[in-house]
Amino acid sequence: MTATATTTKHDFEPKLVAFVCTWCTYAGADLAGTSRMQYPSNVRVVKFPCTGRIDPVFILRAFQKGADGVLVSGCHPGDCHYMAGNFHARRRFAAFRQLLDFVGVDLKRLQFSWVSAAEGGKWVEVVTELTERVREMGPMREFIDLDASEHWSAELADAELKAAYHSL
Amino acid sequence: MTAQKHVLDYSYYPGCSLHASAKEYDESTQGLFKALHIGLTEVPDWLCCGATPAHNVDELLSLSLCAKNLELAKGVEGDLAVACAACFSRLKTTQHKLEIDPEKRRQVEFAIDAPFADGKKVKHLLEILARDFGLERLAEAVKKPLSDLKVACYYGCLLTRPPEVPELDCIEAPTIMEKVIEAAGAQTVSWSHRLECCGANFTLSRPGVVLKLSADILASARDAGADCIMVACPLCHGNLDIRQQEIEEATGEHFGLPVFYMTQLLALAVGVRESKLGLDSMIVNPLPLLKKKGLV
Amino acid sequence: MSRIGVFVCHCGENISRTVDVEKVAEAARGLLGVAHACDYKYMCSDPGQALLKKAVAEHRLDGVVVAACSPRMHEKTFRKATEQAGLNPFLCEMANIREHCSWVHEDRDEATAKAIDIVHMLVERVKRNRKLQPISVPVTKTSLVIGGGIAGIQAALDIADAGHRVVLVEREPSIGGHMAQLSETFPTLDCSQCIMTPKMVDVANHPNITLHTYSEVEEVDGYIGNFQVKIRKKARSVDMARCTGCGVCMAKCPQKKIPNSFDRDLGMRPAIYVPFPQAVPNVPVIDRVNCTWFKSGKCGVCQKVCGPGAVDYAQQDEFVVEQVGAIVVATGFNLYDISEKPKGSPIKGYGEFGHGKIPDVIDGMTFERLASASGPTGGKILRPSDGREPKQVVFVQCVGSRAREKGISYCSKICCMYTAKHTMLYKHKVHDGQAYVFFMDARTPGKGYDEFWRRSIEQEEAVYIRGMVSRLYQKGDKIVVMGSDIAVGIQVEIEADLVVLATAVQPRQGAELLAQKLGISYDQYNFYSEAHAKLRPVECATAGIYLAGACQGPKDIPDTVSQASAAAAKVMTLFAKDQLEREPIVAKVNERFCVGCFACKKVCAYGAIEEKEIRDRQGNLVKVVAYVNPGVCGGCGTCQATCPSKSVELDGYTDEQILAMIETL
Repeated sequence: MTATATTTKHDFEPKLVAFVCTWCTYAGADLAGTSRMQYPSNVRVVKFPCTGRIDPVFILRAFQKGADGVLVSGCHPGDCHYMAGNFHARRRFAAFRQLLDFVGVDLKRLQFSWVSAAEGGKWVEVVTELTERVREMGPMREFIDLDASEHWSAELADAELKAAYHSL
Repeated sequence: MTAQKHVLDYSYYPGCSLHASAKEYDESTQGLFKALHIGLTEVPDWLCCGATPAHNVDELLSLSLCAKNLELAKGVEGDLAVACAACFSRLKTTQHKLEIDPEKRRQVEFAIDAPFADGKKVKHLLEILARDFGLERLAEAVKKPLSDLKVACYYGCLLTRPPEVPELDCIEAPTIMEKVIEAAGAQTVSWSHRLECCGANFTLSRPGVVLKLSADILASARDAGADCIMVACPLCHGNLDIRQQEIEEATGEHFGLPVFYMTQLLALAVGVRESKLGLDSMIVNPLPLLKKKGLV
Repeated sequence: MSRIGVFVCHCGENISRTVDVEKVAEAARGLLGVAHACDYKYMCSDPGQALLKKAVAEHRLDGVVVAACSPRMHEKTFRKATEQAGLNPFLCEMANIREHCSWVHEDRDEATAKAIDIVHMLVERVKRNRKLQPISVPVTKTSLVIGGGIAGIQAALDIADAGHRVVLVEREPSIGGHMAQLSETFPTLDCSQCIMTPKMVDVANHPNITLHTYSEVEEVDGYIGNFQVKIRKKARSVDMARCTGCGVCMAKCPQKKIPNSFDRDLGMRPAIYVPFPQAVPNVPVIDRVNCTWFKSGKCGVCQKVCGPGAVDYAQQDEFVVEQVGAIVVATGFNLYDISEKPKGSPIKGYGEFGHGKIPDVIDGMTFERLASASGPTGGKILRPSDGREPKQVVFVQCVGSRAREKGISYCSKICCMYTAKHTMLYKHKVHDGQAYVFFMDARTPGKGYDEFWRRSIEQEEAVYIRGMVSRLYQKGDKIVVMGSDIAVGIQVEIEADLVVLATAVQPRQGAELLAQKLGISYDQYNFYSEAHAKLRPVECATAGIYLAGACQGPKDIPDTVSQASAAAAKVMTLFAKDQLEREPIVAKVNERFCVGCFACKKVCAYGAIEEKEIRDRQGNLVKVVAYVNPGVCGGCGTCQATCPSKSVELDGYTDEQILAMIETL
């Protein structure tokens, strides 16, 4: 374990955000902890009751705020604590992926997966894989630049627009 | 050439048997389809499908043989009509396997040196008659209803199998043969051995097996009150018809059941001349039965 | 400006070994809106909690972040401490720097940086937390039990014995279900009727039980603690109050040749009938489909001979509305019919077994009726076709069960045992008979079960053949069974007199329709789904609805009775309080923005979203908006992510809170 986990310094450390449901994937990540498994520290977890609660806007916002990769993970199909939330999420994200592709986000930066409360190992696998993939791809600049330009350009000069933007 | 325009057109793959031991199947098929104004154009230069032995010995060989045949058939218009149950099963299985397995497909394409011709629909004659042509139209075409004839429809193993290949009919309880022959006015009997194996190509290597299996089939048909058996497979025909006398000697039972190809009975019903049905090449003489029922 | 307190836990050394906790506290102090930050060895200990409470008072904190273990571990602990400190408990959040940080990373700098980030995220979140109040709903202490088999009877008796009112609804004219049809039960071979009928009588006599037989649940509304149930009482054509159960009508009915479904159509019954002599209630019904009066308007014999004048041809279906607080679903099972196409299967039943058309190929329940002392043959094993005693009987297990190619992949659980029982009952009655059993595996987990199975082989000399039957067919008056013996590797052919198929256990016909009325979920086979396969096996995900017996999955009698009592215990737990309290993580609608598109209603798995009319002072309808019933809402938040106008918000997980967390990146 320790051999593989020997920390090697990299030039670029990506920022990853994971949107997870509390019943399956959050618990799976907890299990990875109690089992003392090791994985890259790049990921920041945001907990939701259910993947069904995850609004695609959050993913966009995360990219805009500097995330280089986003992971969305919930209960396996059929195992949803809320019966069908993950099915709604799956359908929603299937459509959303196309939109992301259209706006120019490399879909390799976005990972959807099912990790159950019993799958600590899978959580480690998914996070490690995404971290390494995104690290190779390098930083995600497009949205940060866009965010900055929106902040400083005259387009948001209108007070009403500004208020609406910040209340997002 | 044709006096009346064809209502349907098919490319036609007869298979080896229909040019040899099952000539009467070919003859009656041609006769029936001509009478129904369905066009059949034989695929030029077709090869053996590999039948039941090839795929047991070398899967790639059997897939390649069928793929080559499909490739040849591409040159002829229309879905591919197949008469023999074994050819039908092999061609369908090949299509299925090459669709789901890209690696096999690559190997086969290399072997036949051509891209695999998917999209060519393979149809058994039963399917063509029951679905494309339609049972109603078939019933309308009948000139000499087989009203008095009690037919035991025998499917054998290959017509509806293997189950994962898109089916001709339900695997365990098919009814398509019954429907077709009932459209020609015949009566069908309900019997237990419709789907049992006749012993197939063990007829050469282990005839004892065939005697037992075929004897059960014949007994079951006789006990159900059938006058005759109707088949759609040359090998079944061989075992039930050619070996019938041998079976009778071995078991000491009497069957006396003529074994017809389904096209022979249908052609008879739509008024094809008796001499065109190949009745003389049947071993169990059907003429006494047909005369008794007033059909010849 | 917020005044947040951050408390960083060392967790002994579990956290402090890899995370520099002092540095985390220091960084927290630098965050906007943090009024206090400190670290402590064990935050969850008494002194740790005291430290938190003291800090809340001293620094006038309005939010708390405890950076320690997973919230799944100690969120409740710290929320309680926060409440004791005088703050709303929902103003406390936990930053998980143990399971998600110190335990999974080794590099101290990296782990510390991550811990700081996690704390930062939670600080931003807690700033936007709202004070939430637990939701309380009143509880109606009456329970509905659907189904009067052994499961429903057991649940009803348990709840009624605890002093609560029970409404028991049964579709058939009598309660009793499948257990009343059985002859003997494994593994003790005691008579099913003898242990069942006293319980049925108890139900009828219990002061707390209202029994509706020949009735069905028509509509269900409401939510946990407050359901309204509409029950259809089908017209019995006999006045329950007047009928004395004397049975003269049945004796005099000229129609006597109607197959009795209770006896699997082997026995006959009149048009006015009770399904079996021990029926509860002992009041007959008129089968209007077969009754001469209803067919032609002639006859009327039963009315003429009825002393108390109870026969009433004009009776109509009645509707009863009951208010209940909990529902126990115990609708049981059906046996798979081999002529039927299983749900989702490409294959039309078992053609190879004769499609149910061979008279001497019967299923297990038919064999039970043949073996039953009160059955159509008086307990003699006789063939349905010619009434002869069968000398060779072949039993086939797993017919329909564990048959993926037929569309049913599960094990029906009870067949191995009841087939073993059948071989015994057969041998007890036909001493010179021989039983053969085709089986895939013998599954006999249960107290005394394997011993029982061995007895059928060792004492009753049943021949067990491991292998499946490929085909069977009628040959003369015998049935030829062709199968394989995979232990020996040969094919077997047996000429049997009778074949008994252990057909699969399936949910009741129409189970899915009832599920839709109740708003509970069901699996691909229509078995009802429990909330958690291991930890909540008797509860539905829909609060206030509980499952008992084979409607949830194949079960034998002991398991069914256990589950029924467990469901009853759950109902009693619910009824122990007058008010029901639950976590306030529920969705709320902003009625100003809601346009009433009800996209939320379509995705809500709980049926929590109702239509609410907004009216002006004159009473004119302004608009229709969504309203989330807090008693029913499960708190998943799917509605919020779906709402196109962003006018639904899930308390505890608002957009504002989540976006603030993302903002910290």
